[in-house]
Amino acid sequence: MSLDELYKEVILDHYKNPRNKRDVPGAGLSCSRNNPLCGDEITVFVNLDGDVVSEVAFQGQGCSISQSSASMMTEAVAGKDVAGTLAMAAEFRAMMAGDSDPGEDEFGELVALKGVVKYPIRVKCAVLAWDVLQEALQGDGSSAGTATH
Amino acid sequence: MTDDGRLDLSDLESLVTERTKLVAVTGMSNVVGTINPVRALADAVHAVGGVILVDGAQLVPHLPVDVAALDCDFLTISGHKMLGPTASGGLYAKLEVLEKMDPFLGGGEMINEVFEDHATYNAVPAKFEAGTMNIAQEIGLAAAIDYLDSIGMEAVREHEKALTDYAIAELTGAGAEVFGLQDAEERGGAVSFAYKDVHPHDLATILDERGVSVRAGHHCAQLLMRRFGVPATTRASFHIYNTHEEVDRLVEALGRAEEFFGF
Repeated sequence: MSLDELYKEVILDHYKNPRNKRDVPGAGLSCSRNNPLCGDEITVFVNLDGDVVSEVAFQGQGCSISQSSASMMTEAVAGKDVAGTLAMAAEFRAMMAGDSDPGEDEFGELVALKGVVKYPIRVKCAVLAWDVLQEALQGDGSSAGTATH
Repeated sequence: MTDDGRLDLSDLESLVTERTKLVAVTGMSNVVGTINPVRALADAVHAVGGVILVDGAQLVPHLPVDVAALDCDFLTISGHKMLGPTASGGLYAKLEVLEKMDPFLGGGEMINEVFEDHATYNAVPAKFEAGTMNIAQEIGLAAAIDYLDSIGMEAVREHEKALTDYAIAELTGAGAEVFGLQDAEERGGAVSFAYKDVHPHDLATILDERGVSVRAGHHCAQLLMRRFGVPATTRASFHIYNTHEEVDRLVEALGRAEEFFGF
């Protein structure tokens, strides 16, 4: 796995032109976390329409992996229901642990992050946004905290 | 900290007062290499009746240290920072300070006589060495110290000074911003820098691909990161085994990062 594969064009594209990177004042659900080990910060905003994630956006700062992962995540889960979103979060985590190998038909651009598995120290960067999203969906909707990994 | 990377002593008199019991300070910054004026601090602390603890984890491995000249009450060392095994280390302290202190751990060898209502303790240092020590690690550390002594700490310092000056000049020349003092005369070889807009973690991965090991992060110094206004820095650091050629490889790899991210 070369570096060029790790930082595929798609990662750089999302890093330099992040999608859905904006504040959502009055969002139904939101959650902020930082990873104190590396200083990465992610806030996720979610609006639900019934059980469907109708809007998801993020704010934050950090490395190319954490920020591109957050950007890709917002596109991947928009329009899914909560159960489907949480299942995708679990699948993503499994992919980053090397325990699952989802295809592009299922995971879209997110598969670009597969290469990060080869860099164990960077896995936490890729997973941070998903942890925050899950906490926003499952928590009390206004939590802030510190990622534990 | 002053803007140029020194410990700011301008308000020392208001910080170290008769209420001061203990001052703990690093001998050398693990982030920017600043060598702190330990003796001046020790004098100020002693003048108000306090004691001073110096974290020598970065200081001791890199230059000659004379605890009597520094007049520190405590000095800690970390073995794995000075060619020794992990989980080895040591604490120097003045005998009269240790004699006033109670043991913090009970166990074999620290005890003298036990009575129903009290106990007496063994003499320093056994008083603080309860139970089975990390014997293998400490023997390894002793070997590392002998090795450093055989080279000579003056020689270690001279080698690292030359490397540090070279690295700062080369990094700066390549467009990196080196944090802290710029003259190796006043600092050690922990060289933290920022390179354009490449995030330190991305930069570290790219350097790693080129066989250059650096540390990226806040270096357990989040207040200092805020002082610099950065979330993290990339840090190269040197010891006796590093070479000028390796500095060249570091600088060359920076060019690769720029090309990659297109900043």
